[in-house]
Amino acid sequence: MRYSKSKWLLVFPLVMASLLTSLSVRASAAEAELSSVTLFVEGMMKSVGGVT
Amino acid sequence: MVAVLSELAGIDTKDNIEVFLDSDAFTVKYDAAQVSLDDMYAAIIELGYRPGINEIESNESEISDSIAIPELVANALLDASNQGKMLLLDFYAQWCIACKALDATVFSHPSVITALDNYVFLKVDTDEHEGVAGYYKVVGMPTLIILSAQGHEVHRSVGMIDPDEYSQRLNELFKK
Repeated sequence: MRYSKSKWLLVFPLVMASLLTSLSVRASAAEAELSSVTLFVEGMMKSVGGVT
Repeated sequence: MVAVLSELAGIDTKDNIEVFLDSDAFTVKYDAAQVSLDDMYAAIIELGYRPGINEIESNESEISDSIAIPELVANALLDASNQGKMLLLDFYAQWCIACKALDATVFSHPSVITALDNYVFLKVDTDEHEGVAGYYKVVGMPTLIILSAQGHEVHRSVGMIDPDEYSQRLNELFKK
């Protein structure tokens, strides 16, 4: 019992570390996939109320 | 408008939209897999706005005749014709973040640089040449327009593109 608990204490940080690495890689991949474009809208400046 | 656009799937948050009020424009970061430019145009139109640059003043010096090709482009077309090339117009602005990204990823890519050997490449600053942008009905940036040596538009793309796909497109269009 004691052996399995200490084993778990050893494995747990490794599991968490790999999980966090996986999540951060996914997050950065998702961020990298974003495209960017600039769009013109006629008269946007004249109607500031409609912009925000 | 920002509030409505930020609710579209693929944009998700107002942080992804930066407004340039003095240029009647905004830059949006989006997930192309979830939302298309057409979706954004549709949302803009639904709100009662019209995509595009403000109508050109009638005394615009760049266009003396509303049908005539702007002089800047006409000169480039002449160059293209004399060299047996086509013309690529790149509509951009100094403040356009997406345009800088396009320069860094597409126009510095070896396959695109090679493909551009068959093209006269003309960068058009939309602030400096608003009339030219209006003539070609530019509604967003970066906009890339390929013209035949006769001045006919044969291809247009708006926004970010894949460099390999674009170099392939440039090569295919020149062969035709």
